[in-house]
Amino acid sequence: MSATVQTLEAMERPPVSMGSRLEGELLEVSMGPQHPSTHGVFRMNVALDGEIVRKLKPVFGYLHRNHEKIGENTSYLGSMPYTDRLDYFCSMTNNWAYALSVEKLAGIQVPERAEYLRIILAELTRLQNHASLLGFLLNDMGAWGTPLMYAFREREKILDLFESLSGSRMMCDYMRFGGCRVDASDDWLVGAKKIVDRFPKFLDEFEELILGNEIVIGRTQNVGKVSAELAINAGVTGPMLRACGVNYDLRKVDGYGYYPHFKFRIPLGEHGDTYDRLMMRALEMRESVSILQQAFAQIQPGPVLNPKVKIRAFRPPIGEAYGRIEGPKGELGFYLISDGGPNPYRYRVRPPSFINLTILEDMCLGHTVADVMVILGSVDIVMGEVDR
Amino acid sequence: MIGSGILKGMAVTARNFVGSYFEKDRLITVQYPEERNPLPENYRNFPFLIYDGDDPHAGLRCVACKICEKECPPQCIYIVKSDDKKPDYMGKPQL
Repeated sequence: MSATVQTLEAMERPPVSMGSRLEGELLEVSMGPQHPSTHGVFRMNVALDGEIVRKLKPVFGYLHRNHEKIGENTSYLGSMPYTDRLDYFCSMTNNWAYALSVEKLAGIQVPERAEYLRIILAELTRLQNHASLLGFLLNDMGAWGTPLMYAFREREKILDLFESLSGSRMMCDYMRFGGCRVDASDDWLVGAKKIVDRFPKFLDEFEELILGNEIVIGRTQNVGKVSAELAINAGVTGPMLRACGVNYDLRKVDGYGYYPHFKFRIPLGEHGDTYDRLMMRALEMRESVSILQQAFAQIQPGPVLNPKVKIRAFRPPIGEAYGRIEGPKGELGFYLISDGGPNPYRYRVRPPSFINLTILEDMCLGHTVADVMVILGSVDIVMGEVDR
Repeated sequence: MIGSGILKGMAVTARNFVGSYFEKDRLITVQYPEERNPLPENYRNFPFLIYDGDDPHAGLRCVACKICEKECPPQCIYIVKSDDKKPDYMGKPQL
């Protein structure tokens, strides 16, 4: 009366043999969720052959907060502070993407000064996000502390600007449907211009610090290569796509906001490796500085909020809208379906860092464990946005 | 020459280290508990209710309009209106 019961463990993990290696077996390692380099609670199940990655399975959802369902149960305005918590590094661009989709849904016009303020804030967000990303990437490579602290020194100045404008350093909650919540004073604009004018000096120094460094070049060049076909097929956007040489930037493609009034260039990579992704951030910061200087020169006084919009008891007409912007990490979109009520019927976020993460295994295969951290760092993920 | 990039980076760190003694731009830390940066005027602090006089219960200025209850995104504010129409601290009748 004895029956062989196959245990769950054996079913889940069939014995793997490599064939080519003598008595070789893959070693399964769980990296994360408590790992200093995974940028939050992100886990990777890695199958290793010696030190070489043969399989990689990302596991996430540890930070799931039910963002989309909460968005269906709160009013349109009530979701605005929640969007700050998606990607807590760049709350201003999250606000803008959400406000843009609601404005599309309800057909709201935005005053000119508000559009300029939005561009200024979005580009400041891009500066601080890219600066701190480069710092974190170097941190993952083992340049422990120094580049990160230099980057955070600059980020701090920009966060102080956000704080004096919106009242909070990271959870800004600044945009409203049809404009911005408060107007920026002239003193604020002068202070912001001063910080932006000094930013290229920091960039020169930072590029001298990292980009010529032989260790950085050795760790990043030819690591984590992505072909342009794979990147397009996987829906990768943002600096990761442009590092592969695909000229796709929503600021040019969609021309949302007042971006068509600005002169700027889109930096493009060639190889699609980690070094190109790193360079892409460094070059984009230069372009952001030039956009900001144009915006400070062009901004005119005027109203910042469309007075026709009833923010309380806001009920957009029946319909659906998809608003998307070029966030620092890629295409950030909000898809809203309205049934005419005070709450959206469906509220969907298209997070850039989650979709950029889908090609992680393709990038990591064949590289060592130490390279996995560098590749993951170059994807630029924030777990608040990946898990939502 | 290999290694020149590293030496250049070391020069940057040295410049920052020495500069932190002379340039205000490079030394931005404050000795926190003793020294604090002033908060900006727009800073969003903890919400609190305003009252007149010394007794917060008697002089409460909240008129229970319930806008905060409607607006609160996590819906954590819950307000019960009191029925008595006694005059407030300033002597005005409550509506």
